[in-house]
Amino acid sequence: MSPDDSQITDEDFVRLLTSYHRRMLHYVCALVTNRAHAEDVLQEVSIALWEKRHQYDPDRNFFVWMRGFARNKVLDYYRQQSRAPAQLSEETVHRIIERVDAQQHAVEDQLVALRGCLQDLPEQQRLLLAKFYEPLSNVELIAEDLNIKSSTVYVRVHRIRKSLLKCVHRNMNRMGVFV
Amino acid sequence: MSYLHQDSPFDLPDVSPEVSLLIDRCVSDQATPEQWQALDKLLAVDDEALAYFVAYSDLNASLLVSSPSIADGPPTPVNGPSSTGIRKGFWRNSARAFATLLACSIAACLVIFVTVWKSTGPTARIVFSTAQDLEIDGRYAERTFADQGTLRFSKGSIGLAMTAGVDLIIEGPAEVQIVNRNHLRLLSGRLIADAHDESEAISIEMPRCTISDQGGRFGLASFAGQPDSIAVFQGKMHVSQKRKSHTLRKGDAVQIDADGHVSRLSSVVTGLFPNEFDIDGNSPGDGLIEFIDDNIIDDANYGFYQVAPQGFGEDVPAYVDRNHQWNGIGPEAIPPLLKGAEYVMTMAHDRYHGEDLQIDLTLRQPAMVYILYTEAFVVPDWLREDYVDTGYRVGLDEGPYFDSRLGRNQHAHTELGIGPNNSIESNFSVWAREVPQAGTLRLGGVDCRRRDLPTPEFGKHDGSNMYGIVVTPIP
Repeated sequence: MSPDDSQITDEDFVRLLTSYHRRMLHYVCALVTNRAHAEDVLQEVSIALWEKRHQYDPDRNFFVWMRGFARNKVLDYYRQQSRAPAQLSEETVHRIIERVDAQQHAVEDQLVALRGCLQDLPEQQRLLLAKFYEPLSNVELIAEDLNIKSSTVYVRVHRIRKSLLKCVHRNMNRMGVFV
Repeated sequence: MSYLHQDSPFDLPDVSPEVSLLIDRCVSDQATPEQWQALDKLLAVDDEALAYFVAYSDLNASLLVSSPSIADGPPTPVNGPSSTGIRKGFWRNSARAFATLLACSIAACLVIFVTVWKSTGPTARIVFSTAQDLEIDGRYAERTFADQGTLRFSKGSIGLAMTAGVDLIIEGPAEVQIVNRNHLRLLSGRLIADAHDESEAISIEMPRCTISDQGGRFGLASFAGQPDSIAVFQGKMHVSQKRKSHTLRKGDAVQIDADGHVSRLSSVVTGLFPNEFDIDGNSPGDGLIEFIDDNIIDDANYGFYQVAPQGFGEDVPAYVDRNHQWNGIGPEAIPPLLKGAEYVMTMAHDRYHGEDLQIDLTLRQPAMVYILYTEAFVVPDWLREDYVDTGYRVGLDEGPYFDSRLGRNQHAHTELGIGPNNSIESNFSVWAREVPQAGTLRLGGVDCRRRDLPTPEFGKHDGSNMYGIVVTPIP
C-alpha cells in the first residue's frame, strides 16, 4: 500500500465531517451548554480537523479522532471564559469531559430512550419544549405567546427536563444497556 | 462489561432539589457568576452532583440536536455516516407505513382489551403491605382482586391501587370491601385516597355517608362509636347523606355523627389519617401539636388546620386552602431552626377575620412556637408583646388556586417556583416564643393594615396572607 492509499480525498473528508456534524454537535453541547457558544466551538473544531485532515487514518474511528480535537477546543473555550468570572474551572471541566467520554458509546441508546419519552409527553409540554429548543428561540416571546412570565417558562422547562431525565434513565435500565 | 448497577452512569443520581435547580439554571444559561462558582465547587468534590450535571447537560444536548423534530415526538438519531439514495427512502417509507399499520393494529387491540377488561377485569391491586395479619376474602391472586373482595387487618398499612385510577393507603385496624372497580366500602379504619389526573369517578361508602370523588386527594376515617371524619386535601368531592349532599373543596373537613349531623372538623393532626410520607410508621407517634381550633362560628365554613404530614422546608405547602408554598430567601434559605420542624398549614382566608380571630394551639409538651408573619401587614399587639422577632425571614410563593369565596380561579397564569429565592411574592418575619409547659396557647388574628415598605432585598411584598405556625420541642 502506498502512502497515498492511506489517506482519504478532501471530498470524502468533507462527507465525513458532514455526516458526523450532528454527533459532534451533541458531544460539544454536552460540554458547553450554551448553544451559540457550542456552535462557535464546533466551528473551531471543524477548522482544526480540516487543517489536520491529512493526518487522519481512515482505519481509525473518525468520531474518536474528532473528540480529541473537540476536547482541546472545549478546554480553550473554558480558559477564555475564566477571564470573565462566570464559568467552570479547568479541573472541573476535565472531570466533566471524563464522564461524558465514558458515556459516548451509549448516546444512541439514550436517544432511543428519549424518543419514547418525548412521545409520552403531553402535547402541550412537547410543544413548549420544541419552541424552547428552536434555533434562535426567544424565551420572552414564548412567554408572551403563552401569557406567562419568562421565569415561568424556565420553571416549566426545568420540570419537563427533570421528568424526561427520569424517564430516559428508567428506559435505559429497562433496555438493559451494557456499560 | 457488566449490566447496569448502582454505580452505572445510567442510574440517575439522587441530588437535592436545590442542586437540581442550580444545575438547571447553569445549563439554561440563567445562572449568576456566584451560582456558577457554587456549581464549580460542587462538581469538584461531589460525584453525585457531577453525574447529575453530566446526565442533565447530555439530555440538553440531545434536545438541542433534536430540536426540529421535538414537536413531532421522536428525535432523529444522530448516528454517524449513512448512505443516501432511493432505496433508503423506499425502506424508510415502507418502514413508516408498516409502523403506522402496526401502531393502528396495536391501538385497535388495546381498545378491545380495555373494553373487555373494564367489564370483567380486575378491580384493584395491593401494591404494598406492612400488615402482618391481613385477611382477604374474594377472588384474589398475585396481589390482584378479580372482582369483589374484602380486606381486614389490625395493624400496619396497605397500598391499594384501584383500576379506576385511584391510589389508597389504608391504615389498620381496618375493614374495607371492594364492591367494584369504582366503588368501595370503608366499614372501619382510616385511609387517604389520591386520584390520578385521568381517573374515573369513584364512590366510597362510609357508615354515615357516601363520598363521590371528583378527582382529588382526601382522607377518610371511621371507627365504631365515633363520627366519620372527612378532609379534602386537593380537588373537590360530594358527600351524600340520605336526603342531603354537600360539596367539599380543598381545605374543607367535616365530621358526621350517628344522627347524621354534619359539623366542621377544625383540626387535622398527626394520626387522624394515614401519612403518605411515613408509610412504614417510622416517625415518632404523636407530634407536639395535639389540637388546633379557632373561635369562628360559621355554618358554611368547613375549613381545617392541618399539622403538615412532612416537616417544614423548601417548597412545602403553606395553607390548606391554597397552593402556596414556603420557601427560603437570601443566602441562608430556610432558617436552620425551622428545618424539618412540625408546622401547621393554616387557612389563608382566616386573614379576613382580622383581629377577631383567635386560634387555640394545644401542645403536648414544652415547645418553641414560631409565627411566620407577613412583613406587608402591621404587626398586631399580641405578636409584638409576647413574641420576639428572630431576624430570620422566609418567603411565600403563591400558586394558582380556586377562591371559594369569590367562586373563581386566582393566579391562573402563575406557576410555583422551585427552591429558595424563586418566585417569592411575600417576605415573612419569623417571631418566636418559648412555651415552657404543655397546654393551650391562644394566638390572635391578623392586622390587615398594609405597611408602606421599600422593596425587600429578596422577593417582593406583593402578598396579603395569613400567618404560619411552626413548633419545635424544647429538650
